[in-house]
Amino acid sequence: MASLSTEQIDQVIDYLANRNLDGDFREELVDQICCELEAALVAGQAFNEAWSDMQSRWPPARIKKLNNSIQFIKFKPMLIKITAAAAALAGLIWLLPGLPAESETIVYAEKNESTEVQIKDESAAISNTTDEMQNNLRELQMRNMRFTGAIRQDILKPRLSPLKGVALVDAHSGFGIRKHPISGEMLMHNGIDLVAPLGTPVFATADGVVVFAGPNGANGIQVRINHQGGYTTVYNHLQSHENLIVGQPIFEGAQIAKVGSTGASTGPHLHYEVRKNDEAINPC
Amino acid sequence: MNHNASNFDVLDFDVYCGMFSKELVKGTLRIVVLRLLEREGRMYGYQMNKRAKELTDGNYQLSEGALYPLLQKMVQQGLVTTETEQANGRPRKYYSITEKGLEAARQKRLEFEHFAFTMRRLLDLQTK
Repeated sequence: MASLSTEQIDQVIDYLANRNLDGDFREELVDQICCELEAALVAGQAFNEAWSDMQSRWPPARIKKLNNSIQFIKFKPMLIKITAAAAALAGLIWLLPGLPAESETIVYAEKNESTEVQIKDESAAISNTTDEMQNNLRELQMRNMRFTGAIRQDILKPRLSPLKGVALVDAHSGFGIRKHPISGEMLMHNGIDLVAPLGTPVFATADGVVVFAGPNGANGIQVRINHQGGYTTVYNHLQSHENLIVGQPIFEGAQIAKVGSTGASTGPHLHYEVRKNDEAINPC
Repeated sequence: MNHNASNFDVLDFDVYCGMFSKELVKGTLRIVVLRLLEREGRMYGYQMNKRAKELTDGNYQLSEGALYPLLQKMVQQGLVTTETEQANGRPRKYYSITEKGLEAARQKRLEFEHFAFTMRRLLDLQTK
């Protein structure tokens, strides 16, 4: 780790002196330029060479521009405050002729007490209404956020068919309660069954990441992919998968497996499931 | 590449090196800086640029012309705090991320993730 000598650091400080730089920023720029010079020295450059390189990289015009933009950001809040104060003052002056004329003031003075009470009541009522309106607005904003959130989530639901030429609605066995083909019981069917010949390619229905690939009991050879928005797609009874590794990113439309009849299956088909936050939903 | 500098935007005048156009770098600079600070804890300006270069094999480079004004802005917004220490015989200004900055980093990353997915879909980049 090369380190500049005190004289060399002073040279940098001199280079940045008398440029009307913001004190804080000048310090920072000294460090930045020193770091650059040190990096050049580490790379084997001589100091003089590194110095002239630095000068061409940091011409006075560039330093000035950068300083101006920092100054602008630093003083912008103050500028806004001044502008606001000026606007408020202008507003007051504009309102002045609208104040009650002298005669009206006298009338007000006579009715002073009752008017004061009335005004107090009214201002309390107004502030109540304002509070109520603000609460309503907040509630509306919350609902709006929830609503747009819901839409966004829905947009992310995988909607493609995992098999080319077989639509989701053409499922041999659909989503919901049905008679189980092996046990004969009435059971919930968490996905849909798409019938296709052995070896038919299976495609990922959305971009995602592989979270499981391999044999999984009655599901046979299974692939599970996690997607955005809390969605997971599941592909069961596969003949084989395309050497997927857990954690592997998968693009929509990529071939991930081949249709098979592994696990509890009565013939070649693909059991396809879409889960939202780990709960099966209708893929159609 | 032709970078037309506009005089109206204070962050716009610097020409970017690296692989990406200055618009792309400018649009992502804030989240990159927040993420770097989140990972490394405390950094100084020069170090941020160096780290970003290392992490991306030199493809993503922050120019000082955008970085320092942005840092100044983030200090004002309470996303980062600064402290100055002596290093190699000169004062060095370190930046660290605040609680507010961590929350901003989390939100910006989620937003960007969604944005990246959306762009991939919009520009037909989903299949290789």
